[in-house]
Amino acid sequence: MMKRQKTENQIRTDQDKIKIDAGHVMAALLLVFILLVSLFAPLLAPYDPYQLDMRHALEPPCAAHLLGTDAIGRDVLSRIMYGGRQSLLLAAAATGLSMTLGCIIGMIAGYFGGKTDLVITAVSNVFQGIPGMTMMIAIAGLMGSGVTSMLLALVITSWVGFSRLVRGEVMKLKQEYFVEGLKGLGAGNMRILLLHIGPNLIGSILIIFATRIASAMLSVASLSFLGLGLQPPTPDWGVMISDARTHFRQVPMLAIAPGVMIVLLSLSINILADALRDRLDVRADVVKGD
Amino acid sequence: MNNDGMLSVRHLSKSYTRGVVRRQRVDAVKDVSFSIPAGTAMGIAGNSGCGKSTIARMIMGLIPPDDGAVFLDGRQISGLKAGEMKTVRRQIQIIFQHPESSLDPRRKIIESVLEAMEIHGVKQGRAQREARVEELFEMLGLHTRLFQRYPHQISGGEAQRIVIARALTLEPKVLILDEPTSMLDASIQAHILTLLKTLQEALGLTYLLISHDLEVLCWFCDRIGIMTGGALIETGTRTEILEKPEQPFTKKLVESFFAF
Ligand SMILES: Nc1ncnc2c1ncn2[C@@H]1O[C@H](COP(=O)(O)OP(=O)(O)OP(=O)(O)O)[C@@H](O)[C@H]1O
Ligand SMILES: [Mg+2]
Repeated sequence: MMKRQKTENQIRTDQDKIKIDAGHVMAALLLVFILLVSLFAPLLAPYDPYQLDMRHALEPPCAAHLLGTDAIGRDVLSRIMYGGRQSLLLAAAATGLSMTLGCIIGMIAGYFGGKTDLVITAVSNVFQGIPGMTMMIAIAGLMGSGVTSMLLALVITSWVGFSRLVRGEVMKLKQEYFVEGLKGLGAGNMRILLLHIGPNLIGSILIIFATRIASAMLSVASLSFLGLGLQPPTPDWGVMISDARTHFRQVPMLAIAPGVMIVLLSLSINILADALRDRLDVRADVVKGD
Repeated sequence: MNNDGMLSVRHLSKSYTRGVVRRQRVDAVKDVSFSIPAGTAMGIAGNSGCGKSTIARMIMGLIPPDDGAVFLDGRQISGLKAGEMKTVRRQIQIIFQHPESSLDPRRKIIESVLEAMEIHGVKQGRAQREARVEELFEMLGLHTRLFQRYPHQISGGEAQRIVIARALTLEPKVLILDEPTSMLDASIQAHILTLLKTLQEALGLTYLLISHDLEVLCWFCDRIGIMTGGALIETGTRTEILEKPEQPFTKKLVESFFAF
């Protein structure tokens, strides 16, 4: 592993195609910061995010409450600190599940081709055609709102993204001479798929994993805002914006703070996903010797 | 035509359909039969697209023939089940035209080479297997420092010898060489062909060498077959082909190579 790392670095300096970009560094720092704050929220938060205090409701930012308090006197800063935990976890779980499902299906379709592929492609097209948000609202409506239905909705609407990409990549890789060579050696399909094709897919899968996790975050926030996802009194950015609707005019901070968090988080993930794409694309060229 | 050679094919045929709207049938291989006695080398010459690689793939069981059969040492090997085919694969190995892309780009050379033995359970344990690879590398003039490299860090000539070493770890009886040197420059080409010749004598291998280069075939092979448009139109010894070709196509091919 160390060796590999080193050779990649050598290639990078040789080619000098990649420079450290200040924007990427900022995005990375921001993401790490948000993740750390979310992770250590119980230690960092000045107040209990559920603690009501009617005497100090709707206070503007002050020394005791840096971001003010909400309609029932809960500390906004503390709720912001807690507010990414559940949606991040949910987005990660949903994207992880979608990835697993999509990879398995895409590999089967791409590798075996023929009728199997036709059927899988037809099914994917149906799923692809469904507008994501509509589907999510429908599922939440059918199964009742809550974490499980949100997870299900997210997986159902995003596995196709993975399976399409994986199918395409596998079809390309399958044509490579090394795969034919392995068949000639007597390697079975499982060995070829799991030990050879799989590892060659990791780069491209990582890229869409990153982009998808950002859009899953947004979906979780939107569903929670609509009251279909995480429910009050959970400290969650989407729920917080939803709660803020009534008092937004008096205390804009109630909506601005969670809104800014959602934007910063998805922005930083998207920037990093782009950076990852650039980096992996360069290496793909080098490996193929183009 | 008999099938008592080490490798023989009888009435092999394969056609492809091309195009989605206007479907077109391409007869890639048409009724090809030949037999290669053990320990000898047979060559197949022919222009690009005449079906040489298709024959090689059918012999290896990588694509099924539409018609005809392949025999290894008298036993039919076409149409075997996957499990039975696996044991056959140990005895017959193929080297492709594209050395650089014949190895998994994400695996170290040593891992790629060892994999052949892992698949077939040849030898016990990594140490013994590595020792075998070292032997073969030495035989092929390869340095063991290549073990830890990745495919993009070696030359085409090295890659091709590594692929040959990998095939030899299985101790095959037959090697199919599908334009093994056409992507390499002339001096490396000669070096690898000489190596293959030496290996043939040392290990008693049977070769099927596919090439569009008649000169190489004449030097390397005991018998030569001439293909055009999917059909094997003529086979003969080197002198027969060079001095008294029967078919006009063969005559033209010979003249194009040895024109003065
Ligand atoms: N998978 C395929 N689908 C459709 N047609 C194919 C396929 N593979 C080969 N062919 C066609 O079959 C014919 C024979 O191809 P083949 O690869 O055997 O030629 P070849 O003699 O090896 O050529 P070269 O010297 O260029 O390697 C060609 O016309 C080719 O276009
Ligand atoms: Mg060919």
